[in-house]
Parts: sequence; structure tokens; C-alpha cells
Amino acid sequence: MAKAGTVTTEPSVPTIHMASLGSSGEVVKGATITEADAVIERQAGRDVVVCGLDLSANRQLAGRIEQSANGPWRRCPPHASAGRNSLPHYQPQSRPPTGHTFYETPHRKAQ
Amino acid sequence: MKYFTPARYVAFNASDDGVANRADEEWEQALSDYRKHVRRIRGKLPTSVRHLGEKLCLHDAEYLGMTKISIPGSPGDVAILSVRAGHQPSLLVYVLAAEPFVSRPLEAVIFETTHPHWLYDEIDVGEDGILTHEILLSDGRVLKLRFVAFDTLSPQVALTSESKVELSATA
Repeated sequence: MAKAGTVTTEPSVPTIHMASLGSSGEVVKGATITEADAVIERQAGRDVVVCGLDLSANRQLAGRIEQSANGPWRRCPPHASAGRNSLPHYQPQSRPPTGHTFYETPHRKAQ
Repeated sequence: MKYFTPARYVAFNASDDGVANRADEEWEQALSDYRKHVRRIRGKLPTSVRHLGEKLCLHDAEYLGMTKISIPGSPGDVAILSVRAGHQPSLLVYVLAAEPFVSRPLEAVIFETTHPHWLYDEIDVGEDGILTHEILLSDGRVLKLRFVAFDTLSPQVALTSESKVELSATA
């Protein structure tokens, strides 16, 4: 039981969404999907995005999706030419399949 | 490289959460610093190099190789980098001020050596007006080109998939 005057916070549970890329490099999130659906989307080469407040939780879930979908991956930080709203992402170590598993950070959010 | 260094990329890919989280913050700072740097030098850059730095997104493009040739009458040797983004091949053509320099500053598991891809790049210009382009590849190599002129070419693929189908259908 929390003491009076202390603040308790619930752990942030990430959500997974279908995703598409906007014209300025931003990631536009769509419908919420399950982790199993996300794996299928990634196997088909489509983008998904993991959203939430906890960077570590987002990154871990995104990595698990990409690993389950496509095996060996690499994690890429945002790049300068992709615009200010681009997100870090996982992608297969070798292509195909196309697409990315993006994830939010404290500085960068899907639209 | 000064901003998007191999060490920062390796840290970003760390399995340790604390290391990866700090690397995320450091990368944000590097992005901010690099944007300021580009704004500072922008007026000294030829249009083609501004385009390279600001518009041409080659992240994840397949790196196909580099060739150096001598052209009589050219102020320097010419280096041609071949890349393919999606199905679109591109040639990056540099009139060189110095020999291209290829290094591998850091060995790490994340640097996978087959099928190298373009990861990150940086542009700079010296007081002497010589331009520099540094490129980090997915196999850990860093290409450094010092040059005086630059352009891009996008050769059209001679046969589209449709024409291949037509050819095979008539063979």
C-alpha cells in the first residue's frame, strides 16, 4: 500500500499499430493490432509501430516482433535526411522483406 | 565521422537497456548538432551537395561498390559510388581532391559483412573549400571522400519487368 503523499505509477504498456510513412518522414499510426498480427504484417513487408511512454519496453517489444517475423535484425536510429519526425526502427539484417518495426521514444512520437 | 560515429551506432544496438537508452539520448544530441553544423556550412555548399545532404535519403540503400577513374582534362580523378535504393540504381560522382579513404574504425557483431548497406553519412567543407563526404556502411566500413565537385546520376533500367515478360513471351 502506497504511503500518503507518494505517487505510484502504473508501468506503461506499449501498444502496437499498423503504420505508414508520411511525406516528411513521420510515422503515421493506424489501427491497434496484436503482437501476433504485427508479426504477420512484418512478414508481409509492411510497417508497424510500437507506441508508449517507456523507451525500454517499446524497444524490447519492437525487437521481439522483428525477431519473430524476420529473424536477425539491426536497430537503426533516426537519420538526418528522414526528417525531424522519423522514428528509430528495427529492420531485417538483409532485405527482403521490406518495411520496418518502428518504436516511439521520449523525443519522438508517431503521428 | 564526427556525429553518427560507429561507436554511437554500436551503443545504440547494445543489448543492455541502460547503454541503449543513453545511446538514444546521445544520438538525439548528435542529430541536433549535425543539423546546426549543416545550417552553418549550407552557404558554402554547391547546390548538388546541399541536395545530397538535405534531400537525398540513401539510408538502407544497397552499396554496390566504388570505382575510381582518371579523366583527361578533369581537375582530379573521379570516384563513382554505386548504390541501389529499392529497385532504383544511383551513381554518386565525385571529382576528387584526394584519394578516397576507407577505414573500419570498430569491429562489432552488429556490423554484418555480407550485402553492405548505407547507414549514415555526414557532409563537411573545409576552410580551403574542399568538401568531405563520410559514409558509414552496415559492414562497419567508413568511406571518406574529399572532393571539389559532385553530381548524381540515376541510370534508367533498360528492361522493365513488363518488357522482360514481353520478351520472354515472344521468345
